[in-house]
Amino acid sequence: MLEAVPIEYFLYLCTLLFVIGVFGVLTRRNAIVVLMCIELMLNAVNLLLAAFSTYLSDAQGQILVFFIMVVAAAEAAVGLGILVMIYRNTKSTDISLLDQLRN
Amino acid sequence: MKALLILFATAIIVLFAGLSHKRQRMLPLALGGVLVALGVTLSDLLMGDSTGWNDMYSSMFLFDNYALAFGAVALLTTALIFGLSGWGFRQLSETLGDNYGLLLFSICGALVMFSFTNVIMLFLGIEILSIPLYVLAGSRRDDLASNEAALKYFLMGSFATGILLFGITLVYGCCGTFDLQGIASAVQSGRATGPMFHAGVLLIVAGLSFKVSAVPFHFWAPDVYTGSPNMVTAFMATVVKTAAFAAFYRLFSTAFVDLSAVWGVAIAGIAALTMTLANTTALFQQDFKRMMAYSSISHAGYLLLAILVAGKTGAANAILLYTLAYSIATVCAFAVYMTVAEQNGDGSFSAFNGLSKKDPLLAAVMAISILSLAGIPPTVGFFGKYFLFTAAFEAYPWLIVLAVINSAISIYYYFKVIIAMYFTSDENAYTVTVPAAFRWVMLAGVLLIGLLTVSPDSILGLIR
Repeated sequence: MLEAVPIEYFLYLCTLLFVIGVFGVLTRRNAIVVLMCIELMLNAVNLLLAAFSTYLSDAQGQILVFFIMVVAAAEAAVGLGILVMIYRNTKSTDISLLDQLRN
Repeated sequence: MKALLILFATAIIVLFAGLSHKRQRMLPLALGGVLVALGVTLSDLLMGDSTGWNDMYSSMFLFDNYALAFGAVALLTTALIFGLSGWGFRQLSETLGDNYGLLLFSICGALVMFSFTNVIMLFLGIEILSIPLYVLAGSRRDDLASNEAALKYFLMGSFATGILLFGITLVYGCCGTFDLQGIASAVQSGRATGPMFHAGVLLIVAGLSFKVSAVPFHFWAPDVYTGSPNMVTAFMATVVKTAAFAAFYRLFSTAFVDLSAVWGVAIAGIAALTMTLANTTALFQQDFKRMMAYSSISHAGYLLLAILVAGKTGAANAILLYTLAYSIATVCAFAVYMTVAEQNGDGSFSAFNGLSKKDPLLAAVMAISILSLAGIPPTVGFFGKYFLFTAAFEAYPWLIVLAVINSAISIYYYFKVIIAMYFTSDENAYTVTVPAAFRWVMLAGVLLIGLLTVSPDSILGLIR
């Protein structure tokens, strides 16, 4: 079933998702949206890894998917923690407000 | 392997000891763990290991000479930084145990980055190193600068991880393995080729360039270094830099060593940009910590020269000597900066005015570290640069010329501090008292710089 879809299609789809994520990180100003775009990048990688793993009949790719999911969860926890801390101080999640350090 | 286990156990114990609110027990516990790990690493490195622990799980990570030597550098630097932490963490109350615990977890990640033989472990090592640092960068919760540093570090760090992972995935799609040797043999046999594979390698270069803060992926570094608490900045500028470069070199000297036609131009360009831009921007800085941030970016540019000749004899040892010299000098400079700036409330160059009259020893320590960072002969910083530049000279002569010009430029901004300390009259009414632990750390640091200056060759034979 899965083999019926050529691997290139997965590559194009995942590259598209990844580029959407990169674009979002670089342009959006709301920190929560930026966080979601980073998750989108990581999930594009996960999808591509799973596709390659099936295509190559090699389980290692799927193992990395699990590791990425765990790390993404840890990162999201830390990232949301940082956001809550900032929201308490500034009452905003707009990252363009945070430019004190850029002289 | 042993050092990794010791540090991990220490980190968990320190984390729980933090609950008991016994401040005075925390530092001996954390420092003790680091020193034991350092001792074990040094004995394995110098006398060999008969237990076979270092070869355990060798398809994932292998504690060979390379890993042990860089592990020793990172642990020595951490021990010096922990020496500063008694005074550096004086304002922390209930979060003291967390701070030590997170720093220790971070070093566990660094040790994994020194020893990986599988790209999965590289990714995990980077994350174990970085995630505690995102928290530490924001550890001054009420300070907006610290908040900003944490958010910028976090967003840029995870963004870089995403790019690195996409590169790893594309390489995996071509090679069918994450193993470094497996990738290398796929490259040699010609199985791994084509635009997808090359794009993967270049994305890995970009992802790692973020981590080592090389231009044009450096823009987060000055802000993060300035906004983070001083102790954390000292750690980021030394241990994290060492770990990122050791991992970068390990990956490119094993997996992609035969591919220099693909990444050679990219890294040469990044190195040239990094050196030039960082050094010229550093000229205009008024704040010492921000100057050190740009200086650390420029050192990343010099270190990239060794990546360019990855796999060549002497390149690994040149990185080792350079990172060791750089780390010790940076910790000493930060020790002086913390003493002066935190008592004075001012971190600009003018805070150092007339320091040589107030405390000649403090000024001398700063002068020695700055001379070593600038690479003035006969300090060890000069030998570090010398071996690095000679390793890369044959392959990239034009880049070495640029590097030497940049070293000359860097002398200007480094000497601003020395001029302030020795040749500017004192207009500050504050007095400097140096905490006792700082004196010991500075003494150890200056002694190490002296020892390395006398015999830099002792380091150069460590990685065979």
